[in-house]
Amino acid sequence: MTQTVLHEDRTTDDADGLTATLEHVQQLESQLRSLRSEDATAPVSPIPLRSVEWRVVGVVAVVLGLAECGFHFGKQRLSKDVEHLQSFTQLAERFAKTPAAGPKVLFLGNSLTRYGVDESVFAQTFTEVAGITPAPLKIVPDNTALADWFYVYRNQFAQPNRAPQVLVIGFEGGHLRDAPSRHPDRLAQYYCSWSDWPELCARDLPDFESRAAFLLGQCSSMIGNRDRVTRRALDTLIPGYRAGMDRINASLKGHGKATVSPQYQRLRKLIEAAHEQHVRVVLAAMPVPEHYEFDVELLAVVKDRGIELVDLRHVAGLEPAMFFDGLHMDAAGAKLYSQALAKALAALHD
Amino acid sequence: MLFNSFFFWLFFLTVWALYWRLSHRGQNRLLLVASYYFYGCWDWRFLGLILLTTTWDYAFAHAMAATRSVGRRRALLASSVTLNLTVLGFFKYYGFFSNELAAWMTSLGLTPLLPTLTIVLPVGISFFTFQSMSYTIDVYRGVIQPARSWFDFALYISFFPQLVAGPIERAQTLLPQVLKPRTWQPQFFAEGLHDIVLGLFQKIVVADNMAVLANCVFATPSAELTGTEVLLGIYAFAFQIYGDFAGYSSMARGVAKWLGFELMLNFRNPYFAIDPSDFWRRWHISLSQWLRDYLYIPLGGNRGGSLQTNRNLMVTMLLGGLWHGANWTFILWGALHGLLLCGYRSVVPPVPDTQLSWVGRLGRMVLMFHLVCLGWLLFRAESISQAVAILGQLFTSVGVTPLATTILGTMVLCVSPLMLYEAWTEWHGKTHSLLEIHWMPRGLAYSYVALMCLFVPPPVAATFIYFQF
Repeated sequence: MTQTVLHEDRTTDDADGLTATLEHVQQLESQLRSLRSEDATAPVSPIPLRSVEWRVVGVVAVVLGLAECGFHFGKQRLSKDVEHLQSFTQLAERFAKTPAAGPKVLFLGNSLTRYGVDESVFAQTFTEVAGITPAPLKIVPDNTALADWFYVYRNQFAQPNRAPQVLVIGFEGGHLRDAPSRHPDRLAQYYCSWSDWPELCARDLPDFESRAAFLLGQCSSMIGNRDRVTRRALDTLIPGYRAGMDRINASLKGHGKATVSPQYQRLRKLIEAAHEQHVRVVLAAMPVPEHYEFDVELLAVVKDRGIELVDLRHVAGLEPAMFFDGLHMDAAGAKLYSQALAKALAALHD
Repeated sequence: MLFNSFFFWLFFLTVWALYWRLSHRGQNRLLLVASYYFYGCWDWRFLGLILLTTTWDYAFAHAMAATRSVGRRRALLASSVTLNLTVLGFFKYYGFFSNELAAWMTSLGLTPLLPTLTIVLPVGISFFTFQSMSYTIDVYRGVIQPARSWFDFALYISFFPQLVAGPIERAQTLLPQVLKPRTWQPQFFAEGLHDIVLGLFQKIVVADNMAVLANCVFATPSAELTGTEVLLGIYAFAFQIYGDFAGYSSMARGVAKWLGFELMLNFRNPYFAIDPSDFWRRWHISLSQWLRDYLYIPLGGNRGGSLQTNRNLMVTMLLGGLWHGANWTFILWGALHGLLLCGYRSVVPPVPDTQLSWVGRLGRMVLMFHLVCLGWLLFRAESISQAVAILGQLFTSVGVTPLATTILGTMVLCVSPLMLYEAWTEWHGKTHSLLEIHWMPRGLAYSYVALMCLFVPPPVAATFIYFQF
């Protein structure tokens, strides 16, 4: 507004009315254009034709295609977690074929379980207490919760020949509450098949946008794995990025929506699926430095469905110093936790 | 329906596929139906409001054109303006003014008996109301003839690319485009693609990433922030609001271009402004020009001496601030810009652009950017007390914290490419400079944008800020 206002102010004090003002504005604009064209160094060329612009679109398509190929053939090099995600089917098949005197125990969880459960310590302790050797398997993708574990179990283990005898779900805080997956891209790439579509639409993909993104994630390795590159790049390029984002998350979490009472419908479905194969379900509460409470609704599920809740929020001997990054247990902590868990499961086995 | 959503592009492709196969009349009808559908996706209940505004301004304009009586024309214009402002005022300002009045009455010991209403603000109401008002005022002034067909006028009011967040188009420029048959021109595709790609970068990479950072700083109690964090948080908001609004405008222009329409440029590298007047030449140009032509000049402009000119500037800027929303922070923001303009007029001697050295120009740009940021602090703060508290914190501890490095690093990653590109277009003096280079580097530039949109998405997708205005 005031550009023209000021120009009018300074140069056309006798301007009277709209026409004079508009004429003056047009004059100024043409002066400005001529001044700019004097500065211009690039030769003036006609606007490219449509056919030329299709070449531009072609360049974009080629670049994206190359990036897609790079991800398709090299994604396992992105992280160990990707390798783990890709191996679900192999692990499940091997698990099915593993001969075991004792129970086949499947651990579902995330990095808390990955660091916290030492399979050999668990097996040894279990054997000592129960007298039979279990066959444990860990499915522990990073940064996941029940929404992700549900699909892994349903697609990889909810079959007569693949089902474990005991399903142990390692959790803390709100991991078991009903909530959409934090990684729909990864669900699309690694966890789900078309048969999951109704369940996905009902719980994880509430709108057109999330469904379209999911379909893209299923078609594209680049989209399904992009967050790994992003995170690594930002961690490398921006000093203190992880700590800064932690602070941002903490700040914004405090201003989020008011909490409603948590639901556990998906957990009930998972338990049903497990019970169909006569799998014993155990919820294993993981120790973390900050104490957390169990939701009343979760305790109701435990009671209703007749499953076990192993409360290992606090393990004797586990010190704060044993959480090497403030969240995950180190080897000494994992040993203590695995022994405690094995004893608890062995007691249940009896 | 956001421009940066899959649903919008599905909608647009459907419209586009049909559009160029239809006759001119068919194109206009299709666009009208599509525009109402687009608006209905936000909130179908307010379609009635657009229909009402369209119908009464169509009728008022025709009645004005049909009479030679100056008094009657004036009465008709006054009725149109009053109706439009009443609707706008009710939806946008009723809550604010009733609360303020209630507080004032309570302070006097009186019992306020004002009805308490929870009013949902129709999206884009300020934009389409101003657009409609400009039409009736221009018909009154004899600048344009009223539209013959209600359907054509309805399309002018509701044209979906610019319906909910501008640019606020004038009937003088948009209505002839509605009325004239449109043919596909070869440059439409290139120019539209440029504007859409630029807009997507501004929205997804710049605005949405900056939003998270700015929200964190403004959501944290100011006492817990260092001066560096506050400063960077304000910068983040400056780039958020710019990327958000300019991104929407750019995409609107691109989408309109693909439909054969030319919308006005709404932003021209505003953070390269060297003084307050220059800033308003570059920022939200459609609103600036609207206020100039329909408020500042009718108030008297600069024709009554320095005092009156300054008064007119202040009134214009205060109302410009109030246009953004019913809050004292917006009014203060307008007042600050009014003062800057008055101060600049009175204190700084005019220096032609060509006489400025590049150092002098750069110094002025930096100074102007920081003055604009001071305004953004007022604009973003929840209340005046929060703005004061944050401003106070700005001059306390200076420390490099993880939050500060995260904001700065994200800004370098996301904002600096945009600023470099703008510096380049500023140097060339053309917004579409990129279209004049070889197709290969242009393709690589667009690929870079596509990869940035894919790999640096915001942690939380955000809606457009200006929809609320």
